[in-house]
Amino acid sequence: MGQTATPHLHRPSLDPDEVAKFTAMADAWWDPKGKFRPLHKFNPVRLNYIRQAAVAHFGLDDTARQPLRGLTLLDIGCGGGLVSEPMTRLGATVTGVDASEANIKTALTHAEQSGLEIDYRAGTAEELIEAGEGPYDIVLNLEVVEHVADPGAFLTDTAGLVAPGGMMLVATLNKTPKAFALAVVGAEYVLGWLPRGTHDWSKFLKPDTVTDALASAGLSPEPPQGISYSPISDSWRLSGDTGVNYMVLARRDK
Amino acid sequence: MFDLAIVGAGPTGGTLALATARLGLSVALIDARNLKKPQPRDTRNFAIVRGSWNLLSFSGLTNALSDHAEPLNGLEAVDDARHWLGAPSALFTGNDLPDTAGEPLLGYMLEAQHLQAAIDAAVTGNEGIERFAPALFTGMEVESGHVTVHLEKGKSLKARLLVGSDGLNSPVRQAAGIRTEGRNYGKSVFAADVTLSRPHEGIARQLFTPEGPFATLPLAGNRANLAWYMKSGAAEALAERPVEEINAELNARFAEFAGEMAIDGPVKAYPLILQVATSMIGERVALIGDAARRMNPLAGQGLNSGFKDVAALAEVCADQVRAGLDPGDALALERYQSWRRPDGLATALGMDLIDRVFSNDNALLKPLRGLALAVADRAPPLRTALARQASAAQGYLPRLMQEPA
Repeated sequence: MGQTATPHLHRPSLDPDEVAKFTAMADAWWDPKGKFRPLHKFNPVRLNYIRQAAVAHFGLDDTARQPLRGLTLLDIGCGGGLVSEPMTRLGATVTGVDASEANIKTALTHAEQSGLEIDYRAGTAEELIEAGEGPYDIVLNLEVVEHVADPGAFLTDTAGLVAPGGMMLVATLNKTPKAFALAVVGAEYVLGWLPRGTHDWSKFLKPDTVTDALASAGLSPEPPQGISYSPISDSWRLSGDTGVNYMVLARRDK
Repeated sequence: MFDLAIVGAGPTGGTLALATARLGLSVALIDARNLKKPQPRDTRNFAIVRGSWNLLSFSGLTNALSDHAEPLNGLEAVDDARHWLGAPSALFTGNDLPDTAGEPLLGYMLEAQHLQAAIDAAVTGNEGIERFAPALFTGMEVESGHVTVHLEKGKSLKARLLVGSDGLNSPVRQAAGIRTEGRNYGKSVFAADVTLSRPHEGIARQLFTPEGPFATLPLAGNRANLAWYMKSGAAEALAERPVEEINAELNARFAEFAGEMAIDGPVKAYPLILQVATSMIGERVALIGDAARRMNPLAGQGLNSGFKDVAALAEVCADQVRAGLDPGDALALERYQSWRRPDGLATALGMDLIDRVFSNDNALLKPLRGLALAVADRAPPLRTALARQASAAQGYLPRLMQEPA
């Protein structure tokens, strides 16, 4: 979190004496053997899903190296840039926003190392709206909604950032005993994948809650898509099981 | 910045360059040879199983190769020893492969110089491949997000991933600090092409003798590539003798098995080595083919195993790029290693075991190998397993090796 009680939207700049610190943080975020390993393992399945959904929705060239060229994309809760950077490589013009100024400085440091140009902002999605930013062709709302105070209002607000003819992808955790067992007890306590207290099960959302909120905000949501972990192959796959991790794709009419 | 910098434009490295370029990756291909000069004829011949042929087809090579490819219709193994089971033999054909039933072809025989000529021509005309040849790889430095590859005369280039397809003594493997383990068999192979007096019918044949196997692999024009396993020194000594003497020696020993033979082209002797890299990956480095493992050439699995490395690495890298990810990142390389290392090791050790059982005069093992062939001939599941082992069907097959839909 920023130093001020009410963070305001800004593009932070790195002080020369902070560079070493944020380089170390970027190294940690992007180390696939480090503490963010679970996120790196999880990443390809959702990146492929986003690519595939965007190619189908916008009628793009699936054989192109940069099929998303010409599209604007907002990555809400972008963290160190694990999704923003691949989306930039796929051609999108990416804005990444995160409430943590430290995350944004980390992401900026790494994007520079990667030679990628990404518009990173410290602040919240609500502040983007207040500042009159957007709308965006693609809005990514990945693993954020289960952390906010008022998920319904958050989904309604961020749906407003989707351009006519655009799409939004929400990824989150289901409010099921299985999700509690796997995502909270399993991932945080047994496997130690995530720091304890990362997730508050009472804030997990049922798919209906998400689709209803998106529909009342004027989007057309599709049925939820499950993602499951396979312990045998130690990898994540799209699956018919929405009981733990799931994604909802929603489109806005032109 | 290249996606891949590949050191070594031989069969595995050249095919990887062509396959990944077709998948949309940017490729630097580095080789000590001038790729525009023809490779001299040598004694190596490759049994290309169907999965490998599919990979060559994807890589745009099979049109140029089909005139030189001799169909491989079957594998026959005969035990030279006489014992209570008679003279056992076993013959495998494509019908023993469950996924290719009704399709008798196991694969093709290709001479090394034809494969290399097709690769040289294809990479030279490919816009997705930048060639650095002739050029020597001199070293590498891993930096944030890429690897800098150094060539002689102070030249260098940057890539996401450096691939070592530079053979048994792989300089890339050494630069990456990856060690090897293995053993010397104390044996050598005498190799030559011969003309045959009777038709080979597209069958690869192996005769197991107490000193080791004698194998003939069918080549175009009713010729064969022969491999004769001998004690170290004996093969080298034979290769030094005049051609007429070698012909006389071959026919005295093996004319009954193979037909009359006459040497056609150069002869060569080389030591048998089992060598396995302790890892197929390093930071921003991947090894393929002989750089990763050199196995007993007994059943022609060396290059086919290398082609599986090619197809698996191409698939992993292309999947990374499709998702907007880095083709050289550690998780991708982990995926390549966990896919290929167990399978490659199993193949290498399996060939090692077969060699130990079959190339032995041990009185206890002799009935065993006769039994193994007799059982193989009579038990369909074992026939299938052995034939699968000799084709590319085992393990989860990379997409580029699967039968085209």
